[in-house]
Amino acid sequence: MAKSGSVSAKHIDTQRAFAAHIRAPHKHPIPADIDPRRMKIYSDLFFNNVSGFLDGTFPVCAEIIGAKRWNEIARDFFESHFCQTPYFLEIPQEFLAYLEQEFRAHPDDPDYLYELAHYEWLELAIDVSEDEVSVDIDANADLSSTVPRFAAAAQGFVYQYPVHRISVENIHPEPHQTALIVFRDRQDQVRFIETNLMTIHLLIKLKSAELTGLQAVEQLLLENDLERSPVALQGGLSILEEWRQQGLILGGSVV
Amino acid sequence: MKYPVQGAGLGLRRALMSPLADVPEHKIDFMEVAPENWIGVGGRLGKSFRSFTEKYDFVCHGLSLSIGSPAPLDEDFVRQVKQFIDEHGIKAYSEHLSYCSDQGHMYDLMPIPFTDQAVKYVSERIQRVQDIIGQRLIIENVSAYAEPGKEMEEAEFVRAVIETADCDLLLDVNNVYVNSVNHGTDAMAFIKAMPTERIKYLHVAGHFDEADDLLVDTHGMEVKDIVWDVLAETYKIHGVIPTLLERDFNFPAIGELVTEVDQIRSLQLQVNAKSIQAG
Repeated sequence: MAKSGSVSAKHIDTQRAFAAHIRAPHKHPIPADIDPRRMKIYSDLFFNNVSGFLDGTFPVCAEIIGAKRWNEIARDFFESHFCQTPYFLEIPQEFLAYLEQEFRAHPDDPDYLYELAHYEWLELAIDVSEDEVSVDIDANADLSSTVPRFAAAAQGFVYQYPVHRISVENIHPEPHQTALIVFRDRQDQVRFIETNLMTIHLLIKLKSAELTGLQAVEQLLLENDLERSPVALQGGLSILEEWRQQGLILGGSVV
Repeated sequence: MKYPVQGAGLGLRRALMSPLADVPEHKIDFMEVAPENWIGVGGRLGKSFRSFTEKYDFVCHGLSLSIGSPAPLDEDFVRQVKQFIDEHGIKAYSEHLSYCSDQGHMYDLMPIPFTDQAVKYVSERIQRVQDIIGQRLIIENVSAYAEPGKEMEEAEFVRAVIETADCDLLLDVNNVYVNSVNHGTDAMAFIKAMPTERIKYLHVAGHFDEADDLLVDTHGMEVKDIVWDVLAETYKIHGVIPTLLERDFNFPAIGELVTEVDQIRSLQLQVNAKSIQAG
């Protein structure tokens, strides 16, 4: 007896051919028993659905690259990238994976395309991140002697282009190392802060270990071969104060 | 209980969340969401969603299970759905009797060929899902614009899957009507052929007239009169069953959607009143 559920079943082959045509209507024939007009309903619905997710998440990329080329890229994404996530809000993440893995840039495509897409995706990712602030926080704590606590989903990223300044008015920015911290504030709004590599290290340090503000600054100075001078310490601690003003640090808690 | 939810419902969409905040709770008896749109979602959206699941009875109506897919069943995903159902006290899990993936997800529904082999294949996968979620899966008849590899009628196929998998049915009356036009079949014959005791709730929605012989199940406009008629007939045949309105885009003012939900409720009341008179 044939094992049921066998992948060699005829209906499975039919399904594969049907899906293949929807993915790439110009590369795979219309299944023999299907009216082309009806098949086109499917191929249009599917492509428009997926490209709608891309348009919604990457409006700056789409605008800069132009409707024609953007449509080509969206088409190539749908044809060549096999998305593994069942979750709709993760389709943009699959698109980033596509840009890294399958995408072949045209000479006219901007070098910063991946970085810009990543930056645009971040807004969505931080907006819906499940990260929440749960520990007890004293908003007025002395950040030097307590453990600074960060707003939800706080993370730092370093780009090779000033991605946050790219727009149709600024299509050809010079490459320039750009450090951004992103977080979700108390009102659940996504916010970005432009900073530098050193302070991103400070953020990472504070987020990965239970250090007081002073301990973190001291370690950072040491790791960077910088003198532990009162001015340097004060400089580091003043960054933490500034972050508190900006809502990136919510306060401190006693270890 | 006979039905997981009661009365007249509305599918919850992100764009409806803020308008719905002003709608009195008693106007909507239950809601439905795609777990794929909400699993793993925190922040303002996650909080807003939580406020709805605390107020209303919910059903999960999945999109990505791909029960008929050539690819292996994603059991991790099914476990995540189970966890989501438990976390939000969701009453039931329905999914489309279709597939939406080949080697990867394609995020929309494709028709499974109506064959004996497909019945066996799909039923085994439904049983596996039921094992994981610890309850019957409710499968939905889908709208289709083509019937590839067909060896039996759709009604026969749906019935066979329900029997073989021992699962339940979400009967979408708009899909029945759309398919009756698209494939030249008899909508009421299809509805009569469905097993009453397995129907757990109904869907009603608007469709788009692409051509005389081709309707597209867009969920983008109001429910057509003919579909209201099919709904009323369905109540007469199978009894008054909880029914949910689906609207996915091109949203009107929230009042118009509430009016359509009211229309479901008044149809339910009419049929109930008549059956009392007749009884």
